[in-house]
Amino acid sequence: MREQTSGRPVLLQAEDVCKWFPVKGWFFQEKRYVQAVNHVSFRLYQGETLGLVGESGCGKTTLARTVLRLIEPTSGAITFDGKDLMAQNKQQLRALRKDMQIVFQDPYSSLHPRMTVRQIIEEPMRIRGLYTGPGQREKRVKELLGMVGLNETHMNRYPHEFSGGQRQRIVIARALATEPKLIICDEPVSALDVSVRAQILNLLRELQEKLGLTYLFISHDLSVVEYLCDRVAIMYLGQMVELGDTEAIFNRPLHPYTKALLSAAPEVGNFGRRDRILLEGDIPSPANPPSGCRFRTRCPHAAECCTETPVWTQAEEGHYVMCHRFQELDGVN
Amino acid sequence: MQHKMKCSTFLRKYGRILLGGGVLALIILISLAAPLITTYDPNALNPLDQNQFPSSVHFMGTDRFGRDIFSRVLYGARVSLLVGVLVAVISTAGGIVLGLLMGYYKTLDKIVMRVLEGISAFPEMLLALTLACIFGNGVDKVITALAIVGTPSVARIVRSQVLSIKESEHVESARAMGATDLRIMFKYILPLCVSPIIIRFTTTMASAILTEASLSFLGVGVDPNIPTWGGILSVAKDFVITHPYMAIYPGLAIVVTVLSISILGDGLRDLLDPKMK
Repeated sequence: MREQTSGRPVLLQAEDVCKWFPVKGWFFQEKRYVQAVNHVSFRLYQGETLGLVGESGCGKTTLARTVLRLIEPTSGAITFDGKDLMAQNKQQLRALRKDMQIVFQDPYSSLHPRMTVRQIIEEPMRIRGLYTGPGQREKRVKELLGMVGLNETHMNRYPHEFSGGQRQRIVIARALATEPKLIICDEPVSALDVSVRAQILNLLRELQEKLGLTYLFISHDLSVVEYLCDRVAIMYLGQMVELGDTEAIFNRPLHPYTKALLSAAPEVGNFGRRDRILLEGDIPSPANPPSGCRFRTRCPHAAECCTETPVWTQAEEGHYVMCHRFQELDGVN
Repeated sequence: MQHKMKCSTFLRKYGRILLGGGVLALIILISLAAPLITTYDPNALNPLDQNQFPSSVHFMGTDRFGRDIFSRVLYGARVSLLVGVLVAVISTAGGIVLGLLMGYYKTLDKIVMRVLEGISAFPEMLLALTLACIFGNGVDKVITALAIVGTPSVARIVRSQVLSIKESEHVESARAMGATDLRIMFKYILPLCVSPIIIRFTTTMASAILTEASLSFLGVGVDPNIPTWGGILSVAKDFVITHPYMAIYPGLAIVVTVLSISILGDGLRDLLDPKMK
């Protein structure tokens, strides 16, 4: 079942997106795939922040890169700002990249070590041929540096002269250079000190208010997601298992995996103060996922019906879940 | 005090470039001014003076044909430097282009890599010999042959660097900005593989000078009447025990040249690296 349109303008829509990476086997072996992202659909509304949460290796980053076509999806449809991304050729896609940017997790490796800050921030303008008038790029660089809380004196320095937080500000300034509509934040604060984290989060929030940005915010830190996001999507083993408003997810989680995840986070929402739900075993290999519900091998409530593949169901307005038993388990830990 | 400080930072920054470049410039200058400096014709045979140890008459002694080694070393610098530098430049340029393309495009990699492996399967000397035979005598032919031999190893070094740098986030962010493949290759990947390329450049140059010598010795390289450092060495190799000076001087010339280029290369690499400032 697809998400209902709630009247708000949709910026990015992913439908049934899959990304399977082929695994090399022996000569006679059947060709196998790592199902990094498996049949994921979601909508991103203009001006909102959608959080993407899940443990390491669940396909969050792959999904983010796939919806930008930085990685080619195996199948599925992606619509960005009314345009079918899958139908764009290489050149058209490059032109569209002006409107969608990505901020990576590691601010140390995502800046070119041999370019000055000014060159780094000018680069997207150069690539897209924007701000061509005399002195306009320099003006724009200064403006951007101001926006992210740095100043002109930083312009001619190299990235290695900055701290992690400052570097992430440079990355954000670069992402903003072409006035994008969508910014995908791939764990932008998880490599930073806790003290700097809040500053960067506040900066992201301010910029969103000022520039009307839309964020897809990937994180495994629930407190960060609760602070920043309007809606949250939970991923497990390449699939989206629950999606809803932040408040709904944190106060009334429906999927057993979401409940376990929230219980593991100290004091988040009302749910976190309850008893910790301990999941047994490790996350199964995405090359050989369990049949039926993918979570059933670790789910404390797994039953006979869970061998069937569950469907994406709307539990309440704007709150979706992929579980056979969510109604029976409502309110149960 | 402040002036002194500036002096030391200046030296740290440009010292090696000045030293390497200066020595190299000196060698080139001497080779060009050879007719003014030397008193003997480098090709004049003098059977009475053969195998003379260094003396005031023959500054570096004479070889088995009585030719003055000092003159030959000075004149020899012309061809040897030309061969060494040009072979290094051509095979490095070729290797960079091939390596970038191979590292970046997987399908191309599979095809070109097989060809390069085929070339590398031959011993370098044998391949150079075969190519030189096909192309014929002459400095330009030798340079072409040696450049073909030297390219695969540079290409493979660049390719391996590209393969790892390609996966880094700064390259991915360039793709996310909509940069073209060419821009990514030359602006985002190449500047980060400079160090191994510079090292390879100097070794390619040294080995080109020596391989040219072997080719000349075997009669498929440069005209034996044109003095080259390698040529002097190959004449000297039968007398290494009894008359070591014959090999020492041209050997010293090669060592000093390669060393100066290597120091120059180091200096350039550090100058290009903003972290060393």
